[in-house]
Amino acid sequence: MSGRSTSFEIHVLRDKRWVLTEIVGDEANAVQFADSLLNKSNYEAVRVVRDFKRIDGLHSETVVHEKVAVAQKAEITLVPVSDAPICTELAHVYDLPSRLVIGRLFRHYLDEALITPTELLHNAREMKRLADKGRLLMSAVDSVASLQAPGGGEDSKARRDFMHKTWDQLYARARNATPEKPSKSSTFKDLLVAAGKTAEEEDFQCLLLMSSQLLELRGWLAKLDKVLAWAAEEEAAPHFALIDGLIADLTMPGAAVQDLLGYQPNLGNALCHLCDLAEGKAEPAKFASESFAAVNRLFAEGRLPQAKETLLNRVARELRSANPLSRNEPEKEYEMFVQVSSRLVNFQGVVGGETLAEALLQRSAKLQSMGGVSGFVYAIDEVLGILGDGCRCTLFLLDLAKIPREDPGFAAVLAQSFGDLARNRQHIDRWAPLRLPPRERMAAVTGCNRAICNSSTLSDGLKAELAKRTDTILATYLEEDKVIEKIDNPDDPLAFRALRLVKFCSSGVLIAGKSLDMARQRVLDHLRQPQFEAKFLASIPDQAQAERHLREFHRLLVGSGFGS
Amino acid sequence: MLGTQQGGAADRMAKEPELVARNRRLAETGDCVAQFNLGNMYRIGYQIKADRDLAIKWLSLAARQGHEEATELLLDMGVDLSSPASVDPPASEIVADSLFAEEPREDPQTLLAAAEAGNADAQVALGNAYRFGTDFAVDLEEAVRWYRSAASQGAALGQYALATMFDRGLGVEQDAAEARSWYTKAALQGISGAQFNLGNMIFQGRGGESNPEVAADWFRKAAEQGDAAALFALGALYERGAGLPQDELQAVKHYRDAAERGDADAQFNLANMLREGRGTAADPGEAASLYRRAGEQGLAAAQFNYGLMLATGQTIARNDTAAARWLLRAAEQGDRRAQYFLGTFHEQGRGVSRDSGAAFEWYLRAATQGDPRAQYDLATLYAAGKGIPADLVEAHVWLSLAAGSTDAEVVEAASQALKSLGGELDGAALVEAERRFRARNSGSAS
Repeated sequence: MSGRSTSFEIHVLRDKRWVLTEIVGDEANAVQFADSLLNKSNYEAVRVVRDFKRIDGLHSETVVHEKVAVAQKAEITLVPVSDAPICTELAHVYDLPSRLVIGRLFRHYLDEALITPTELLHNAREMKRLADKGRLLMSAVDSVASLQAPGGGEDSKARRDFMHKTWDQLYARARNATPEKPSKSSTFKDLLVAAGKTAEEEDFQCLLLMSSQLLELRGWLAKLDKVLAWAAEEEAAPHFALIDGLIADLTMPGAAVQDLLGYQPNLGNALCHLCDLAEGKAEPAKFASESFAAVNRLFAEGRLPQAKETLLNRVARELRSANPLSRNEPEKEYEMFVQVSSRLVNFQGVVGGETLAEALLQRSAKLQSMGGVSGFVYAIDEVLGILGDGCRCTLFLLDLAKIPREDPGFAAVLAQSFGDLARNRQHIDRWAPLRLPPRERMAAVTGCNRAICNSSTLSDGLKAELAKRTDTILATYLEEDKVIEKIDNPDDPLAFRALRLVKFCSSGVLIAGKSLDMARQRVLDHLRQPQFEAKFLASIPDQAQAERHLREFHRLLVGSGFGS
Repeated sequence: MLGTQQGGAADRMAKEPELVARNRRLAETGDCVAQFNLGNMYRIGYQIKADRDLAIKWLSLAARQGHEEATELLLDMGVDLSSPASVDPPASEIVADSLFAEEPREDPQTLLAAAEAGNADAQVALGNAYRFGTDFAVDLEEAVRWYRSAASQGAALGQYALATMFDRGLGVEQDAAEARSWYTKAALQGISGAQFNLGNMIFQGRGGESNPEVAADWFRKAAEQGDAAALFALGALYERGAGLPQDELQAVKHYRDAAERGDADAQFNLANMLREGRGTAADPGEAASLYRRAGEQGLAAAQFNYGLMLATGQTIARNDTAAARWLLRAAEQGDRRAQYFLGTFHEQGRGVSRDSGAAFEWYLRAATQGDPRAQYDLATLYAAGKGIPADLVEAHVWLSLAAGSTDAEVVEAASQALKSLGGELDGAALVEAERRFRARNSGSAS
């Protein structure tokens, strides 16, 4: 029983702040009212505070009741996917394309359970746990079957049956291969020995044992560190595909990638950084994981093709998503698109090939808020405008042309864009940026010419037109900038001039056409002059050195095709 | 294969009327007249079922090759060529665990407890929360209190944040000397933002003496950490020869470094140097691209230059519609040159529909800011009664203002016009014109 000097305040926790909602005079009523608020509303917690007005006029407050809402666990759902490669046999399920789909489809589940697709597929207990998770597995099978059935020529029921049967086989295989006593040793060497003692295929058994160890670790980076420790063992070298596969799985979760990369100001920067990492060219950012340097080194050594594909797959998906490239500074959205475009398309082609070229185009179409063939026109123009030079524009279009499309309008747009490049860009300044050194400019045009000639998607007419244009561009550049004259400087000794010329011919920066012919002709002119060799030798005072240079010159001549 | 006829298309052509089939065949090889014809057939449903999207597709292809009628038809169809929106963009892929979907935030109660326990990092984070209103109501004085607490413990970020509050007078009375002192402390601990701001204060002589050489040193320290603003500042010092020897090659190098990091000012200055061939070989194409990048970030001067490049078509394909859009963006930010050109676009119907009223409005805005060409053209609209009821007195006023400008060409034309207009006004009108001219002139002078 409380006197009039006592009241009871009911507070609710809203957005992490206590807010007073009601004052009542009776404690029991206050508690009942607070509990009913908690049950009916979305408050995080409620509390009742007794306020006692003391005789001296001051107030004393005491919390007499506090209750926190039981957090409602959101039901784990599947993430919609728009494509799923068809697996026709059990082995395909373990391959990267399948694991990528598993990684996307079950992302919420995998994140909550903190397991990778490989760990899931190599551990019977984890497989059973997933199968027992309500309708999750059934829904996943339905979803994938309905995607695969049209392409595979089956009806979706047959596809579903096949997938259920496959799942049972996967489960049985994992269960049968699970050793009764798990190995305590965790070195790769010991795992290999243990794997070799079973009837199972060695790689599968090895992955099963590795998965068992990884499942013990409760953090993506902890798992990564473990895999990197295995990677450092000599015995791992012949089995590096397994290491690569595990790292690929560990670069699937967004949280893992984010922790690995460290601080990134926005998505656009993160995507550029991911490309750097996939090519082994990344510098660690602020707060990057300690494993970053080791992973980057493995990428640089070309030992992680699956992980590379995984990272580039994420770049493509993020580009196809609606997530802004510059969330915190919306005015920089276009700027980030420019930076991502410039990072993805270089003078060797598009990083990640046609998949990323198409993803870039889709992002461009979204920036224009337009789709269909008309949107395609503007989206292409936007990217070409950003790339600027004809070489990268051509390489981007060549990758885009590899994507099969139903509407012939798309092919018409691409054909016109190629045609524009061939017809409207008549100077090297429109093909290779002026800021590049001459050698890189020539290499860019030559590389582009090679890509054109090797293309299997361009029509013969366009191919010939573009190849001729790039050949002419380079030949004109050699003339205008007097490149050959500079190499063949008459003030220099003949030996050096001849050597430089023949090296120039074999440097790979000239197109097997007009430009190479021009350089070769200059070499031939030297060779045909009377007593060339005598003049060559006489041009260097040190006879021994002169003869060495002559031998080198002959060797280079043969290597450059002059001997044939 | 590109450039060859698709099987499906061939089948469809066999069923199409000859005229449609012929145009389609040519259109697919890139013939812009055929593209226009085919687009127009789809538009009006001539010999083929009308299809707005296909009409836009083929007309867009023709317009892209400079087919003016195609451009006009697209405008008539309500297609904004610079920002088309006739077909929905491709569906977005759902990335359940997208990178950087949300900034991770510390629980406010935890943060508060850590800050109160004396954790300097938490104090800075709490200061930020109060400053930017994340988890707590904005309270700048409280932010200053927490920053000061962290700064007094020697936390570099606390010193930097506190300096910023003094520099801008946020939650505390503005005090340049105090700001400079805290920036110095943070800068000495290697905070690039503090190094840049300190460089700026020293360069401008705020909170102490001006010393461009010392400013350059601080800019360089920040630039070495990749600070884009500092790289830009260094470029500007090299370009002007302030605090550093004038060196346009170095200016271009620093501008380029900053531009590649997305700094709009650097992109604009680099574009200017590329356009003029200063410190580098002239490359107007790259200049246009950089103007666009800076313009997209909201820099009015860059928007104007890019709009002008699109309008003249000298280095990039001429596109009046896009030019008008860029000029509009700059004009809305108050760029008087853009306002003037936008007025001419409206008067001539270039890239926008012909509209004397809109032309009048833009000329007026530019003229009020003192643009002599706008003053002259505004006067001609007043005299002709285009876009506004005829008012010879106002025409006289604006011509007088134009005649008093420093643009020789405008001065001559305005003087001539004034002579002929003077004959049409009676004495009272001339007195009134003189009165308004003085009022406006003194207004603009003040």
